[in-house]
Amino acid sequence: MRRRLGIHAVTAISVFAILHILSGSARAQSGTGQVSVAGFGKSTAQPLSPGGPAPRAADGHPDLSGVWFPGKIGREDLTAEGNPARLQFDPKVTPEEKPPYQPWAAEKVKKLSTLDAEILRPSVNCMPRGVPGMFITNPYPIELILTKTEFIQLDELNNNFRIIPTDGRAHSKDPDPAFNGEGVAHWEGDTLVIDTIAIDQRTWNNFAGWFHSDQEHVVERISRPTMNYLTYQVTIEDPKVLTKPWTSAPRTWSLGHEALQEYYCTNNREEEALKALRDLTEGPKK
Amino acid sequence: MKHVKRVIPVTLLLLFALAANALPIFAHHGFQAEYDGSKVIYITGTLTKLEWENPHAYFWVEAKDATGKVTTWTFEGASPIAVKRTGTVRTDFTSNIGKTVTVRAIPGKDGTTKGAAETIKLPDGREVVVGGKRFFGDSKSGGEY
Repeated sequence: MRRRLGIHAVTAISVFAILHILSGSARAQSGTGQVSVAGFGKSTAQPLSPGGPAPRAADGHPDLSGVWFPGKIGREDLTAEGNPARLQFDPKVTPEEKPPYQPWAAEKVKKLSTLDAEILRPSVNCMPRGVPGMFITNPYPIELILTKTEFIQLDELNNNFRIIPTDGRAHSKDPDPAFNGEGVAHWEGDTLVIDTIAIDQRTWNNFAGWFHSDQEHVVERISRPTMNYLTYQVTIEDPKVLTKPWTSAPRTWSLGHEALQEYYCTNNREEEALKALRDLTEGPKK
Repeated sequence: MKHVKRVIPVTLLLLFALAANALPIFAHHGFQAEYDGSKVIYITGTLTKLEWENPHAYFWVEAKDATGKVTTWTFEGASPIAVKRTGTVRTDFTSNIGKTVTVRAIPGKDGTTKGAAETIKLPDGREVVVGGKRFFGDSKSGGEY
């Protein structure tokens, strides 16, 4: 009896608190919504100029080395989220097709509750973005280092790295799954082509539940058309999940002039908060 | 006991309605599942604590509610790396612990005293950025940070 009263008291308090906040009568004044910091949310940062021709490595290929930021402004800008120059591509100009799911996969994605979708995605649970997530779902800068024999990618996000041989070798037989998969690369003209298989199945290809099978095959194409720009495009094949291969829009990264910072995901409170919210609204789960 | 039995379904309905108000599927981040981007709030109180770690900076403000009772607000900012790149530094917080600040944020959906913060106004009058754009009014997109 006492326990039931306790639960009901908590429930009543929760209802009161919600109504209190919604009514805006909290000591917290509700704002009218005008942006209080000039320019916040509508930065006018302009795209970088092309910057001249791309530098060449000794073997004549474009040198992809540099610190790169997603979008066209060559830096990070929290106030610029409304600015199209921050986007990797303009969906109005080069729209990306939705993932061509097989019916069973589409159903599985559709069944994810909003909260489950949040809790399972790497940007909330701090798991690695993997391949191609480290390019297509990554808002943080990367550093590329091209040596005579390797393409090395350092991701600021989660202090991640991958090292890809560029000598055109074939994949090994039955590689172990890894978050960054097993990648091998070769040049096609001025484009570095990275072929990746054996990607850990916990990675997602978008923020909305695009899961993949152990048969996923990812081909990335990276080029440096000018000094200040990197172009990235990826094709994903997955005969168990997709009806056909999917190719991204050409995506733009721009040259930065600062060092990557350390980023270890050591204080993640969101996963716990979302799980608590899910338990409250959908019932307790794992 | 009838009135008690009615409270629970109402609460769950309210909470569910709040959660279901979350974004369309192209949203980048958990912000819109956890916080309500259609509302903006300003909380004035004493800055008491900072956690300056990834993936998100957190800070706490003790503010008086309408009854004069002190309540603790928990605010979530962007990654400290992203925050630093706007010019805000850790000492903007640490040197103002115990002082009065005003935070602009969007409130949590679970009814607790928490928010996803955009800016903090410091005792010296500067308003500095601590998170990406969170308040979206009627629109339904969300930030990755």
